[in-house]
Amino acid sequence: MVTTDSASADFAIEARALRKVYRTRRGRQVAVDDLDLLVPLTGVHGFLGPNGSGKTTTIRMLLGLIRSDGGSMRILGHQVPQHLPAVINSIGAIVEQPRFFPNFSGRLNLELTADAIGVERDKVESVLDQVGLRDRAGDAFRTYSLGMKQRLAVAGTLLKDPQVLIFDEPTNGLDPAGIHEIRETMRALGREGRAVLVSSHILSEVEQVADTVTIIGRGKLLADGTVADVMGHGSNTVRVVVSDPRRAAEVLTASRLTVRPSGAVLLVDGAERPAVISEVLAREGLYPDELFPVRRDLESVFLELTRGSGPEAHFDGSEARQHPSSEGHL
Amino acid sequence: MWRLFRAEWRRVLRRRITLFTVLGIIAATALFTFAMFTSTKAPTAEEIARSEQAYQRALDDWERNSAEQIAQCKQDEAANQQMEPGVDFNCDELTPTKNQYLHPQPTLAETQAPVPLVAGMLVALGAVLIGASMVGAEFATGSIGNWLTFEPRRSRVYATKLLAVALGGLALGAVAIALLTGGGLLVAQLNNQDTTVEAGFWAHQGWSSLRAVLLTAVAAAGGAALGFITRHTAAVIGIGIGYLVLVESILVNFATWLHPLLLTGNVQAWIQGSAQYRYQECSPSDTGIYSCESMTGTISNTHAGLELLAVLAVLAVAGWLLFRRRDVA
Ligand SMILES: Nc1ncnc2c1ncn2[C@@H]1O[C@H](COP(=O)(O)OP(=O)(O)OP(=O)(O)O)[C@@H](O)[C@H]1O
Ligand SMILES: [Mg+2]
Repeated sequence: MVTTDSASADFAIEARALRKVYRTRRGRQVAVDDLDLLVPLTGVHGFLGPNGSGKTTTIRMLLGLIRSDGGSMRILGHQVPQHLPAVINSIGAIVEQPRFFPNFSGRLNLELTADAIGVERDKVESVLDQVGLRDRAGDAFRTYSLGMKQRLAVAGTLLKDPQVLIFDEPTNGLDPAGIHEIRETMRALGREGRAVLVSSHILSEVEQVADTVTIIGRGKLLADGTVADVMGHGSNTVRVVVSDPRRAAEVLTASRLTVRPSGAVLLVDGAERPAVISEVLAREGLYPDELFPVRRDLESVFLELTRGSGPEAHFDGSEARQHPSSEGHL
Repeated sequence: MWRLFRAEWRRVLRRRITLFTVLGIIAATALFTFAMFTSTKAPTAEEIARSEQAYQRALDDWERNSAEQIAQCKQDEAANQQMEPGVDFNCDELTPTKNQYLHPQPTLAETQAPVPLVAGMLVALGAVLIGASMVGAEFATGSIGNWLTFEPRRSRVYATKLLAVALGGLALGAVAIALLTGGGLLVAQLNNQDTTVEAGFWAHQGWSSLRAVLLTAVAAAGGAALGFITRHTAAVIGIGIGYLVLVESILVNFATWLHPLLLTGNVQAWIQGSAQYRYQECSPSDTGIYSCESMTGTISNTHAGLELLAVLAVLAVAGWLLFRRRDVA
């Protein structure tokens, strides 16, 4: 259908300068603001942000459910939402809670979907099998537990054999076993060479499954890149406890290391290995009592980046408020 | 498009409200058929004898007092004519007739004539509800958003939903008319009704029935379009009731030009071929007294067809434009 822009895609999902303003009774609310989202062609991409930061809004725009107020979006090289029909069969998506017809059985729901997209009915049984729902497939969707609903939704996306999967907080409300299962599914899909975009506000989750990550707060991009990169930002910080911190700071600064005093403790950046620091200090007769690398996890990066961009809404009137800078943008 | 339509059609068939509407229609037709049965029973010998007696008594009475009664009638008529010129009390037709005492058994033609209108009106109401709830439920549960992640072409989604419910409305209308016609024929058999009909009667019934099922299809599609506009089943029901109360019962009394536009009249005219409406035209007379005249207007079949089509077109286009533009959250 579309040939002009399908030639080659560098990204599974490529959104640039995306913007969405909701018009509410309280005024205009900027939900997504100049956001870039780049999801590689394969692997799991985490989409992190606190509650109300615009993750679901972004996903809805990608799927053509709501209109964007600016920016451009491409999925597998096709401009969306204009050319969404050309790629929709390559996209499997679950937005927020799985929503099927509540009084129809899981099987009937999938059969109707299969009919609509022209997939053989046999496929329904096989995807039901795949997610382990075959026993309960005859029951009404509304009688399913949250985990079963989630699995049915996953089964629905698998009807299409999609190249790109979009999961919006898929582990929300699941028990540990369910969470584990969904995670395994996502990992496996990523390993199979598909692109998986998974939104979440749970850091550990993203850290465990994602290869790359985009962090947003209040609709704005805060950081993106590989998980290692985002975490590596400042990862060679070393905590140094020394008897004469002031002199130690001078010495270290003279050796072109960045020193941030924090009480009696020094946080030293820029050393390739902690040993470099002890060497520099020893040369001046200073011997650190403690010296260990501070391994930053995504949690601390996230908290640092999203400080001040909590869930409370921000309206036009409060726009002047300081937003965290995007210094972590890699 | 065909695949999508098939999926929607299957959904129409599997919805519970469809089942309930079908059951409701079966119950209503059964009731109507039973009413036909009781009202078309041939009179028993005892009933005939009793009515004969009553008739004779009335006739005797008439022979004794006719002059007096006619005079009284004429006097009343004259009194009324002062207020309302042209009033006719039919004082020359006061002689009792046999039919006043023994209602003749209705013929098959008489019991069958209202079938398309009754079935059409009844099913049309159900069809609006089926259409509106099919769409309203999807917005209420959010499943429309899920559906759109499989078929993002909203115009297709919209068209197939309207077509599927329209087909449902059509089928329901046809079933209702078939049941009522079959029931009527059975009753005629059981009650030995006079089944001779005028030439062209069944053809006329056939055309009326065809127009009735077209109406039920249109009603279902209109209900679905309203569902897309309001996104709530309850809102559609509210609009329906609000229209009947506000426009058809209140507003029309102040704006008589609304009469030929009312939906009920047009539905009747569409199915039956034409419909009459009555209204009062009031103005001060030469003497300065404010007086009202009773008027009758006619809605033609063509007028009705065009108006109903226009209503459907407006709803369908409005629903389409809104569904294409608005966010689905
Ligand atoms: N339909 C809507 N109308 C008005 N405002 C909305 C609407 N949907 C979302 N918002 C607002 O837009 C902002 C972003 O919401 P969104 O649902 O995208 O956040 P999220 O990142 O998905 O949050 P969560 O982690 O809680 O799911 C919020 O402030 C929310 O209140
Ligand atoms: Mg969300």
